[in-house]
Amino acid sequence: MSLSQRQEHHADRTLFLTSVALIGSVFAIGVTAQSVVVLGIDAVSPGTHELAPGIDVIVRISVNLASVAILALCSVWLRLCIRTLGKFFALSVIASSIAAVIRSLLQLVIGIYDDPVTAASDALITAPVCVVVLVIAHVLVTLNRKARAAEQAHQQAAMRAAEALSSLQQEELRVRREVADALHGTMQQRLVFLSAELESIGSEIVKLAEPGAESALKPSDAVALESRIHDVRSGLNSMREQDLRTLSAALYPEALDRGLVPAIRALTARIPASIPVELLTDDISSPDGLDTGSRLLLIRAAEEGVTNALRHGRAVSISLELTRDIEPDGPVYRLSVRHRGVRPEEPIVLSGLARLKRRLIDLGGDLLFAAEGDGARLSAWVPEDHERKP
Amino acid sequence: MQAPPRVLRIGVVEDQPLFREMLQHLLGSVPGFRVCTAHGVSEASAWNAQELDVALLDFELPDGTGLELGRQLRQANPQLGVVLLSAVDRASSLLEIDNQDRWSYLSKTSATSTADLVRTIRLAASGGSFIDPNIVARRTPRAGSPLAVLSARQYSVLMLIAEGLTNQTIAARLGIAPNSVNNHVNAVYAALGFNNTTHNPRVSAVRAFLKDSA
Repeated sequence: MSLSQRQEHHADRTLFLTSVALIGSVFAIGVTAQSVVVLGIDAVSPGTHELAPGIDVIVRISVNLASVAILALCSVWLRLCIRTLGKFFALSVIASSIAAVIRSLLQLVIGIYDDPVTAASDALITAPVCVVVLVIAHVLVTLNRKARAAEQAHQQAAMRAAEALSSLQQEELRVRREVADALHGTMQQRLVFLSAELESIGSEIVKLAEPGAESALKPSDAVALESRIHDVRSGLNSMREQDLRTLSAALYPEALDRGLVPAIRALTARIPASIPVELLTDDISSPDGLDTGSRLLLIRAAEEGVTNALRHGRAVSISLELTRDIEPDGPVYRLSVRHRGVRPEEPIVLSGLARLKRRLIDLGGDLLFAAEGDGARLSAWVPEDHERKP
Repeated sequence: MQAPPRVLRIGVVEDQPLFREMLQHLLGSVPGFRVCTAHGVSEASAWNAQELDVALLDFELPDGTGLELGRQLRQANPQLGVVLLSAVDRASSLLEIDNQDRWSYLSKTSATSTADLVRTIRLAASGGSFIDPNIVARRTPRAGSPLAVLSARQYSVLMLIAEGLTNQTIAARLGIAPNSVNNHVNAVYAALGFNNTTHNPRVSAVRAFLKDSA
């Protein structure tokens, strides 16, 4: 049992005992007061203290309070506070009977009653009253437990939301940095190179077109210039098709809005054709039942899996599988990337994947990356309705 | 008396004003073409698809995708030819469509050429299904896939099928006899696992090309 659970049990027991003591005392004093009011002080003082009939009243209250104490002790002994409802009622009857019998015995010994039959009748009335006291205490503890659970759930939800927001902000920063680096690095360099090449081609055309120039434009020059312009065009096309597309996918994966299957298909289309790729999608329709945030996490996991397979796993084949499994808590989308090539060294450190794993756990899913055969398998999953996660 | 030439009604949906105007100008100047334009899904949704022969749709639109819009228009008019336009190769998205018949894919680079654009529209209007030749040429068969076992000639024939050419045109393009093309086509179908029950094998071959090339 954890420290917090022990503290909770202690708090429940304290509340239970306090409730029994307070409510029992109210009954204890109330019953005596009722006897005095209804029957008169002389009637409740059968003569043991004729000179001071009020002492009898005090004795009666003391006996009643002692009964409450016995009831409380019995509830501790029988651990009523942590019992299930059925056991609670059964044990409550036992505890109440013990308290009622002891009360009647005390009343006989002290002389409040001189007739055992009357004392027994009194015990028959006292026992149900004790049960009522215990039930009220139990109801109070149950209500307190529910309030505590609701408060804890609220706190956990707030904590999860804060964690999710924090990881989202970190992820956004990472992607922004990545895109900014790519824009300032590769893209800018290529644009500078293409710009310089165009300027050089322009200068050459001007030079060749100068009137009377020895090097007037010849067919071979035209072919060479056309070839250079063609190279510039190819460079621009490559930037558009690859670099810009990669950047765009880094910001937002292709086809994500249309569903997991189109997004995975777009991802596999970017894997070099020299690597065999198997794509199994379990007849999942598009759009699927996931929200965009959950889809994004699964696709990011698949991207990491494919990147790992290509970069570190020297993949000779890659297989991607998407399934929608029906589990007791509801449907779960599971995406796995399996590659054959080089088996990763163990123990595996998740590094970049750890961030994804945390975010998936926040949504009630998880991520596993493990060596398998002559390669590795990355599996990521998320429940269809993560609002219902435990 | 000779019947007047059929007017082709073309719906163009493109969000970039400059490109939309260019397409409208290129297509509008062709005799027998009637063009209407929209800048997004919501505007084009108001069209009566029955009054269109071809829809030329930009893939990425501000309020949706050309793919979804094409589906919607095709539901209203099953005979409509749909041509998706994109600056990058997203032709694999055609695999999301159950019945790829009469769906085509054109790169925006090709769309700037009047000849390519007109050929595309006429092919789409006649019920053809094709992929932009520039996109087809850039792709290579994926290792380990059925495409990888095709001979160079068979793969060339498949590429031309993907471009929407008939066997006769393929024969002329490759400079071989139509019978040889038939043989190559049958070999391609066999390699792709098609049999007599395969529905519309030409369209299925294009799907296989999109699925197993990169």
